[in-house]
Amino acid sequence: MVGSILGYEFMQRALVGGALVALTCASLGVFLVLKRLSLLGDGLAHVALAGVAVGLLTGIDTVLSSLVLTVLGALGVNETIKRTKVYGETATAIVLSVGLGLAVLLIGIAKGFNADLLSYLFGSILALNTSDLTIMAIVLAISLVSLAIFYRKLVLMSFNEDIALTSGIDAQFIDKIFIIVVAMAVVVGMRAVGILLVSALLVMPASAAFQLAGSFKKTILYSILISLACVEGGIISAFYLNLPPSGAIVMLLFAAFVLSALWRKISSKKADRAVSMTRA
Amino acid sequence: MKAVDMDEVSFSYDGNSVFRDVTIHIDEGDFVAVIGPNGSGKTTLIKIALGLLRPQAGGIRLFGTPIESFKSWELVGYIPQKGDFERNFPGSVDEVLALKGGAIDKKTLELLEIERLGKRRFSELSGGQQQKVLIALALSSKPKLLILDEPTVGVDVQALQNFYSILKKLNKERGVTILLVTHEVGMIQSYVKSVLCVSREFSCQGKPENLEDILKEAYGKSFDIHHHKH
Repeated sequence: MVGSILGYEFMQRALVGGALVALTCASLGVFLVLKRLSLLGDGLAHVALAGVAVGLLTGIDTVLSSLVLTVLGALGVNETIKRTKVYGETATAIVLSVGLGLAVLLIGIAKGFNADLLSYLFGSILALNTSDLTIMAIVLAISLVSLAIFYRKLVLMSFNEDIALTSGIDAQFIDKIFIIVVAMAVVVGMRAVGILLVSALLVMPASAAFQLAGSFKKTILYSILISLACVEGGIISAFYLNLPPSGAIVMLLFAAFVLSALWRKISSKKADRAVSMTRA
Repeated sequence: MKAVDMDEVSFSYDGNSVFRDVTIHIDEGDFVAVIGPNGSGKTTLIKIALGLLRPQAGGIRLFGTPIESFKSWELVGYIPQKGDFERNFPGSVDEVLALKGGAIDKKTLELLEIERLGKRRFSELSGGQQQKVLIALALSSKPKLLILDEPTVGVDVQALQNFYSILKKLNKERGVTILLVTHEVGMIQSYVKSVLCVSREFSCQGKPENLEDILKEAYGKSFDIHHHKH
């Protein structure tokens, strides 16, 4: 069955691209969720849409234009959180609205590329080309290197920022690097599942992993495994059932989250029962 | 040398004055309880001392170095208020203890009675156990100054006494300077070496034996203090 899928080059590229994006988003997502910035991916994806619109309007490569605009949007969120009394979620909502507003304006100015935009809204993982895969691999490498360098510091910042600051950590610098890497992940995620669903790749595997893991490292590992399974499973099932891959991926991620939440509930009930039996 | 020097510090927030010309000196080796009414700025004071908040006027030095150029953060262990921690943090106790990059000796783990908790998830520990893990984390860089902001909120009386005994041991046996923000005035007389009372417009320092006078000055009325046995 898998052999017949691999007979198609576009499916090979989709499976490789899906794996690259899954690895990138799942590892970053754990930190994003802990920092209470779950919707950041969604917000930045809307900025990426404006970037795509700029690209289509000016003829600049859409990946480049969306990358530049999304990184700027990410830095905007970061600065808004640091310099004003606005919560992270509010800063994200502001950037989301501005991104979407700008995109609507640009789409209105340049009529005629609505069809192109649709592929960005819902993803086109089956249409990935070699240059897309190269960019995805580069973004994955940047994410993994950044996480490897700043891992302990990022974990401490997620645990408590004041302890991090009074341990001599330059939290502002690390936050900037992290948010730029997230912006890059959003842009490559956009190619896979689309602007409207990219935040699912960042948030859902991590949220499912939180239910299952007993340590931070395991949380990251489970997040990656869940994401890989759901992304590849989504692509394969979409191929055989003639479904849109992005929708299939997100539904599988949702199922993984529900199952892991149920598992957590059942296992904690079992543990409670064991404790009460010991006491009796 | 003084562990903490705050000279004529003034701090306001959104135009509301929190402190005006407050001067505080904490000697190395001291065990100080910081008390004061709700909203008196105890946490703000701690955050200013640590450079987390910048005052509009005045100077702060940690171990003789101005806070702006202070780099020896391994000398400082800080435990913020309980509510400031990520409630759903998925890390194990071992992972939390490694967060500052230092190593914790077995003796410290035994002193804190957390040597068997390593594999447990931090978020699933009791409040008292979490506080002990946080102290161990703060001690992992071998600090000379330990600052704790209301560490025993929600901790039962027995655990409370145990907690204060541990702090006293750290101060007495290892010479760690301790600055403890607390509301437990009944406990501090038996454990601390001095009391620092802060209230918006003034601060006063004294010996725990004079706690009644200090409280009267801070709160404007007398208190019947219930002492905990230890």
